[in-house]
Amino acid sequence: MNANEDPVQRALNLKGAYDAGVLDARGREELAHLLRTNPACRNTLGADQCLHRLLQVYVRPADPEIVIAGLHRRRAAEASASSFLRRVHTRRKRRGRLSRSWRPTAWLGVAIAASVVAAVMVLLRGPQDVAPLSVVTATHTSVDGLVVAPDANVELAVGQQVSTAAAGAATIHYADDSVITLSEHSRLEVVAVQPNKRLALHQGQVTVDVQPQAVDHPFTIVTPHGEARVVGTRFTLTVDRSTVLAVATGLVRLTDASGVVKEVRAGERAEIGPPAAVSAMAPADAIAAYDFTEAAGDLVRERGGSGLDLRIEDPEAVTWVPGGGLRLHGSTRLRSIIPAAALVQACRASGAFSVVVDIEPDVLDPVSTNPLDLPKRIICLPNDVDARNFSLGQGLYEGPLDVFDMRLFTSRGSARGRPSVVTSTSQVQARRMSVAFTRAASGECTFAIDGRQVAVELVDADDQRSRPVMTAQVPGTLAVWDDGLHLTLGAEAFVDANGRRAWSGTFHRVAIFARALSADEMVTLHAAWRSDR
Amino acid sequence: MDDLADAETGYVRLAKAGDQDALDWLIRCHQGRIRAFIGVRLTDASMVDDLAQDAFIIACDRIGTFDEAQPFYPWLRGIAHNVLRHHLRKRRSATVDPHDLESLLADAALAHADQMGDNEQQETALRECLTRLSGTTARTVQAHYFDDRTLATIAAEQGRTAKAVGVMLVRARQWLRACVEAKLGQNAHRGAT
Repeated sequence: MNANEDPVQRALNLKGAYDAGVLDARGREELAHLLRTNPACRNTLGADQCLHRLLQVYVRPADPEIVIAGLHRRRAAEASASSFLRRVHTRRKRRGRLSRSWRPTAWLGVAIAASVVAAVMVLLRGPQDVAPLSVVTATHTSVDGLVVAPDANVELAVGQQVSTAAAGAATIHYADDSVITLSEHSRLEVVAVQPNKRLALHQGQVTVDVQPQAVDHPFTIVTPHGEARVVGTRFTLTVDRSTVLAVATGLVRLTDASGVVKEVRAGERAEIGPPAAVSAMAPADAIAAYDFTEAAGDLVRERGGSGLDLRIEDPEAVTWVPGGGLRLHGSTRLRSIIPAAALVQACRASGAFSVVVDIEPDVLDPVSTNPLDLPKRIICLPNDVDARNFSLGQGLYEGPLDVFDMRLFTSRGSARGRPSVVTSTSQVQARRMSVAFTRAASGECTFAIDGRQVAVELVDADDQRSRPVMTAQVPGTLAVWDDGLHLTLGAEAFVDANGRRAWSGTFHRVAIFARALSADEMVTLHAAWRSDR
Repeated sequence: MDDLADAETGYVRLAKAGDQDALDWLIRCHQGRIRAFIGVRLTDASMVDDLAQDAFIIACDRIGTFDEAQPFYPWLRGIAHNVLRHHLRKRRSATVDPHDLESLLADAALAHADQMGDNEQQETALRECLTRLSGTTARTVQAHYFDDRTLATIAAEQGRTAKAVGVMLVRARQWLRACVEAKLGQNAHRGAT
């Protein structure tokens, strides 16, 4: 070491070589010596290691839903293993072969015995011993995105989804011996297990062999087009553009989305089609609603009756998604052909407003994203880059990238829409999600992600943040809204030196209301959109 | 008590009564911070998720014993701390030489992590600071942390030595640390005024 070199700087240089894997033995000894003898070096290198690890953790945050799903699976597996051990213990005691004091090595034997008993029980499917609901055979099948081994015997919990790929199949078994067989290219979600059995078939086909059920605890399968409710029967349900029911034995009550009930008997088939577009995708009082099912062209039709159709500015920068959706992958926007006058006038009159989007956002790269080209515009009624009626965006100007931000112009605020209402960080994720913002006439504003209300902060023009709250107050009325503006999705109307705030991701649904949706309505709307995927 | 704390108290009450959704909400809310709490104290990043899950499992099993008059996060962090301590004790017993370089670096990191605490604004501050990096430094941080490239690969691409890339990353982290501390200091000041 150079006599004039600062020991901390020297330690940092040695650490750089250590991280690169090129620190020789003398260097290692010197670095170890500095760590042992110099508190400043120890503190600086400790801080460096901590930051290195924080970067590793934060750069790849765990998807909270995957954390929860993993937790459920492990708890279910542990509960199942404990129950096997208890059963083995009981049976062996009954046979008088086991002393009350257990040698440590005896546990290994019990574990092996438990595995054998488990395998035998799966084969025999003894109704008193099986889990309430489990996948017992599986080919090319996954549960919540994780592939299931053919003989895995995975216990299912509420909220979990079973999916089959091409040439896949899965058998799902209830404790009462009701059996569901899932065909290839299918997706089934567990909605309730006990006492009512309720499944949601999002796509594909199931064959159902249901044991007689108590009348007050029916077995129901929900599809995007209605539901099939059974007492005891065998039938096949297929979901594609419509839902087709074929009953082999017994009686099935089929209800479509508008509530019309059909009773389908053995040997009969029935079909229920897609519901009327708006009633299924949003409550009937949506001022504007879009489902992006056009599949081609440069026009997105408005489905709520306001006639606020959107024109795609650059069709080359978008891709239509089969089944409904529009992916924006270049810098473009969708702009209403006529001004959103009816929408604005309704919001002015009510003082309230809600916008709900079903989107799959691209997560922004913190290095390549220009921090001045934010927030990315998801949907807005823009006047120019600094003025608007409202703008729902992703990310904050020179701020975090993984928040949703609502800028709302009121009689008590600025035309820029500051202070804006901002979700907590980590809310933007690379998955399909519904994002709802509501503003009541009283000024109360909330954000909900996937139907669940999330904490928000108010961020003013100086980037001062309020403390997190569940409901933020944005005072004033909406009487100042300009009714000559065009509804715009995906980018700002105008470009400044930093760009046009172009958003990238996929739109699946959009609905706008001139009232504040209730918490229950947000949950219902999310559930309806989710079941319609 | 603010609305978020009120909501948390409500969810804790439901979770104690056996409501799985409420328990999920609590874990969803705090999992990022718990992962970071564990992550800064571990040499082996691949163990973070396992240990976090161990902590959540224990929390699920013991939620009935939680005193709802107390804040939830410190209780959860206490469980994570015990899980971590148990893991580190096992690792320590397997370590050959407590005075070797790896052990000294691990101890230095652990000591700093305990001083640092786990400010909930830390992640936001770090993300904001990352957006302020520019030029080669930004590209190098991106390549190593976001694109998972080794220092040797980056060095080959940039026409430098691996040591030079290692030193550049050390300097980038020094700058990020100062930036984060400044931001957290500002926030504390804002909170105080």
